[in-house]
Parts: sequence; structure tokens; C-alpha cells
Amino acid sequence: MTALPTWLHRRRGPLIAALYVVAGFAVVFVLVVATGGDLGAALGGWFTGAFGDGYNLTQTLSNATPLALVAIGVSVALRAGVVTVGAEGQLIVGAILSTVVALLLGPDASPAVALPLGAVAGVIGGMLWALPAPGAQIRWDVKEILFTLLAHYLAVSLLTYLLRTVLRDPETNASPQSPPLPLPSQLPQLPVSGRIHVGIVIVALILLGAWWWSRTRQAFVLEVYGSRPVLAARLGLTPRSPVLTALLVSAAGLAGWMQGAGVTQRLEPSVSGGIGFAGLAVAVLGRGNPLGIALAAIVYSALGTGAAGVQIATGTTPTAIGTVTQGILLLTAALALAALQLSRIEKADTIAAKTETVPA
Amino acid sequence: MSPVEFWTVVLAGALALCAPIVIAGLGEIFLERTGGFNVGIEGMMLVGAVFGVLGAHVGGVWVGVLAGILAGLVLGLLMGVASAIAKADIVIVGIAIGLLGAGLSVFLFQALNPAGSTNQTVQTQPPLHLPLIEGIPVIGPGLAHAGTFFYLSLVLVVLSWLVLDHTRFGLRLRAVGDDESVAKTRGISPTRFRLGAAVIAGGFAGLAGATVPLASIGTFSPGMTGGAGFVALAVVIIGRRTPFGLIAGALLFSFFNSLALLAQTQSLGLPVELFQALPYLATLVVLCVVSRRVWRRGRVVRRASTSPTPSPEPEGAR
Repeated sequence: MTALPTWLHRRRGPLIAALYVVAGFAVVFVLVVATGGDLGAALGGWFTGAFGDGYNLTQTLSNATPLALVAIGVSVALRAGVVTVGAEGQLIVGAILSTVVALLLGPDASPAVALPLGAVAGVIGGMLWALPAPGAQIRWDVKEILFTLLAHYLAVSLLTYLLRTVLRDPETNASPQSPPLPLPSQLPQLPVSGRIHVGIVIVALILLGAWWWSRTRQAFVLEVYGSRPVLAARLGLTPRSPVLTALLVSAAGLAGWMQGAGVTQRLEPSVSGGIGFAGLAVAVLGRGNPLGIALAAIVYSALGTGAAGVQIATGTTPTAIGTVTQGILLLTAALALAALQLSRIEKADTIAAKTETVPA
Repeated sequence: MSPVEFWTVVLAGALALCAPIVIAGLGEIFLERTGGFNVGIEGMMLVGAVFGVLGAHVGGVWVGVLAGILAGLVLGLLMGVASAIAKADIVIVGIAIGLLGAGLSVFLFQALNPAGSTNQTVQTQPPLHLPLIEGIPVIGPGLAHAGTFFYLSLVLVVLSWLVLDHTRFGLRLRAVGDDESVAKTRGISPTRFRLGAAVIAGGFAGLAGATVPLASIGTFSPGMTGGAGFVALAVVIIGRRTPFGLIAGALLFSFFNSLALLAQTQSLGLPVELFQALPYLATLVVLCVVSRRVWRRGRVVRRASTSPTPSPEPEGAR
């Protein structure tokens, strides 16, 4: 008689987590139906838009590439308990620096020199922009997340200034953008139908490297810092170093180089496009696991690219359903994680209580 | 333009621009006194903005204001339930609500005004004429034309100050933020006060968002709050989490923002992008200076009341 309720109670965490996910889906479906869309048509349209043909599929993968790259860095920071959204500014500055390098090298450089130099410039740009935030946190106790939210606007101003003046393409008057990158500095495209650059292979390799790193002692100590800073100090980690390293490894600068060299092949004002928040979302969804990050990046990116398909298929549901779904996805993930964690703590507590009451 | 005229225009702009930051910041003070932090503030403001326009469409400016508040309250409730009851990390919940709000505002506006239909603007805030103060040099014209929402924000500042510092509710909010376990032993439920503070923060953010279109163009455009919510987060810390300090911080930002708007229409000798960056730069610099001073004064106390780096785990985990 009591078997079912006990079973339910014991699995309360996973059940609540599942409930959150179902509720999240329900909200999205209600929004689609409320705007006069047919649910089947919307789902079909989403799939076509995200994966339907070579072009759409590569578009999804191409958008997922910088997301995965940024999320790797963010997940390292998350390990140390630092929630960072600074990728946006880092990506912009990385893209600026690598564009400058590409334009300076010109059309006569060898790709074997131009591509690595561009990548290094991107990383340096990203790091330079990443440095002040943890510095301010350590020195003055300024919330790192607040610093980067404001610093983002400075990076945008810098970008618009450069695109209006020194980096502006003299050939076009219409929109502020840099001249096309010289050929040796452009990332080659993969020989598939659609458009996808070789950067995705680089990101796959980095994911592999991240998987290896996540099993090292250093990664473990960083995780310890996130939950028990005092214990981490005894393992040789002072409070300053994790915050610094966690933010510096953020790979957003490299993503900036890839967006310029591989996707747009020039510097455009829209180069960053909300990657700060999206990268964090992917890192949370991927739970710090490189394979999870790769999957989460594809799903997250597919929600964006598929949204156009939803609008075409239903005729009435706006494409903004993509962003709405991304937000709901992150919210349900955060709730589900919390539910699982709470139930784990409760379980540990009951076990501890039991062992205490049993006489030795 | 003579120097006096110039600064008169800049100050008038600053006063007209600071209302949304002050209002959103007030809600954030309530939340931060309980130890929270609302990264979703920008998304809440955007939803408030779209509901402000929709409401004003139906029944005029004040219906719009009410609709904005209600929309904000709902998002605040969502945030409170997720963070205080379900114990999800408040920063990640905030980012999720920020994404959700940004998407939802565009979604609603596009759904109700499909592409191709003519965009109707709604009636904006009722003009307020105060001929008596208009005569004051430099600051007078700005004060006289600062708009209804500016004076509304001042009233809310005084009300919030009364509630925060002179009621049992306000003191209990602070007790929850200062030391949760002590509050608990005094019979104060941290969960309930955190939930309440999040709902209040949402309502203020929704109202702040509604004032953005209703004080300017009378229609919605994606991302129209332009970071005012994030600025409010910084300004709250600059103002030491007090309603009156908040006004000073908000004026600092909107003063430079007003200068940036002026730089777009006439040459001020330097690149216009520099003026656009200046409000954020000034806010950042003051944020660092102020935090440093607070840091020196009492590091231990601050550590206990507000953890500087939010952990991704729920607070119950430790």
C-alpha cells in the first residue's frame, strides 16, 4: 500500500526535474498555439529550419561552433563557482585584433602564417579584455558579472568607432564594416553542401582537450574551490588564482577570430550577437561535460535557426519564439539541476541521520 | 549655443533620462537587501515596455503603466519561486529570465503587430508644466520639463526609503540578507521574504520598463531599454543600496548619457562613440572607487551579508 508513495518520495528529485522540463515544453506549445500556429506544423517547420537541408544544417552547426567554444571557457569558470557573461566583450576585442592582424599581413602572406597569427591575435584580444574584471573583483570587490555587463558596452563603442574610421571598408558606403579579409587569412570552408568552415574541427579538438583536462587534478581542485574555498586553500589554491585562471582561459577571443575569418570573412558590427548569455546557457545545459557542451550548443543553436522554419510553417508564430524557447530551456535546466541537487542533499542527510541513530 | 544654454540642455536631458534607472534600481535595492541579485532585470524591463505600450493602446498611459507593473510582477514571481523556493541559483535564473524577457517582448510585439502592418504609436506621458521653477537658472527648465515619470520616481524613492528603513518589513528584509540563520531563529522566514523581494523587484522593473516607451517614442522596439537595467544594478551598488544614493548614481549615468545624445546631433570635438561609451565608463570607474571604499571599511561584515561571487549551487548546498 505504501510502496508507491515511498517510491515516489524517494525519486522526488528526478520527478520534480522531469516536471519542470514538461512544464517548459508546455509553455512553448501554448505560445505557439496562442499565436494561431498548428503544433505539428510548427515542430516540422522547426526541424526543417534547423536540420532540413545542407544549408540549414551547416548554419546550425556554424552557429553552434562559437557557442561551444565560449561554453568551454565558461564551464571552467563555473567549476570555480564564478558565473561569467564576459564572453561578449572578449569576442569583440578578439575579432578586432585578429582583423587588424589579417589586414596588416595582406594578401601575400602564406596561410600557414596568417591563420595561426590571426588565432593568436584573437586569443590575446580576448585575454586583454578578460583581465580587468577579475582584477577589479580581487582588488576592489566589484562583482565580476556586473563589471563585464558594463564593459560590454565599451567594447561595442570601440567596435563601432573602428568600423566607422580606420577599419572601415572604403569600397562600401552602405553599412559600417571592414574590408573583406585577405584570402590567406580566411578559414577554408569544408567541402560539404552548405557553408561550414574548418573551425568546427578545431573546436572539436578543443572539446577533446577539455575532456582530458576535466579529468586532471587541477580541474578537481578548481571544483573544490567552488564549493569549499577553505579546503581548496589547503590543496594549494589561494582565492585569487582560481578567479583569474577561470576567467583567462575563456576561449571567447578565439571564437571572435573564427567568426571573422570563417563566417563573415570581414569584421561586422553584429559579430558578437548575444554570445555572453548564450555561452553561459550552453555551459549550464552541458553541465561542464565537453560532450554535453557540444550537444547543448547544437540544440541551443538549432532553436535559433529553426525558429525561422517555425514562422514559415505556421505563418503566424514570430521567429522570436526561438529566443523565448532558449530562455525557457535555461530556466528549466537551472530548476531541474536544483531539484536534483536538493534531493541528493536530503538523501545524504537521511543517511547521515540513520548512521547516527544506529548504535555502534 | 552659449555654455549656459548647453549645460541647461544637458541637465534637462539627464533628468528626463534617469527615471527608468531610478525605478528599476529601487526594486533591486529590495532584492539586494535580502542578498539577491537580479541579472534578469533587463528582460523584465523589456517585457514591462511591451506591456506598457499594449496597455496604453487599450486604455491610455496609466493603463499602460499598470500593465507594465503587472507583467513585471509575474516575472518577479517566477524569479522568486525559482530562486527562493526551488533553490535554483539566482544568477543563472536571472540570465534565463533575461533571455526569456528579451525574447518574449519581441514575440508579443510581433504577434500583435505582424510585419507589414502599420505601427501605431500610443499616447505618451502627460506633460507636466511647472512654471514656478522654470525661472531657476540652468537647472530650472530641466526640472520643469523632466516629465511626470521623473516626479513619480522621486515619490517612489521616498516611499521605498520609508518602507526599507522605517518599517518592520524593511528591517526584516535586511535581517534575511545579513544573516539567514539568525533571521530564522527570530521567526523570520527567509524563503518568504526572498520571494516577496523578488516580486517587488519585478514590479519595479516592469514599471521602469513601461516608462521607457511611454516617456519617449510611444511604441516598442526590440532591446529599447538599452542596458538601463544593467546600469541600475551598478547604480544600486554605487548608491550603497539606499534609495537616495540611488538617485545620485542614476544622475551620474544619465548626465553622461545626455551628453552622448547631444554629441550625436552636434560636434563636440571628440568621436561620438567616445561620448556613447562615457556613461558606462563613468559608472564603471565610480563603481570601482565606491566598492573599494566599502571594502576597506568593513570587509568581514560585507562578506557575511553579500557573497561577492555567487556559487552555481543553491544556497542550501553548503
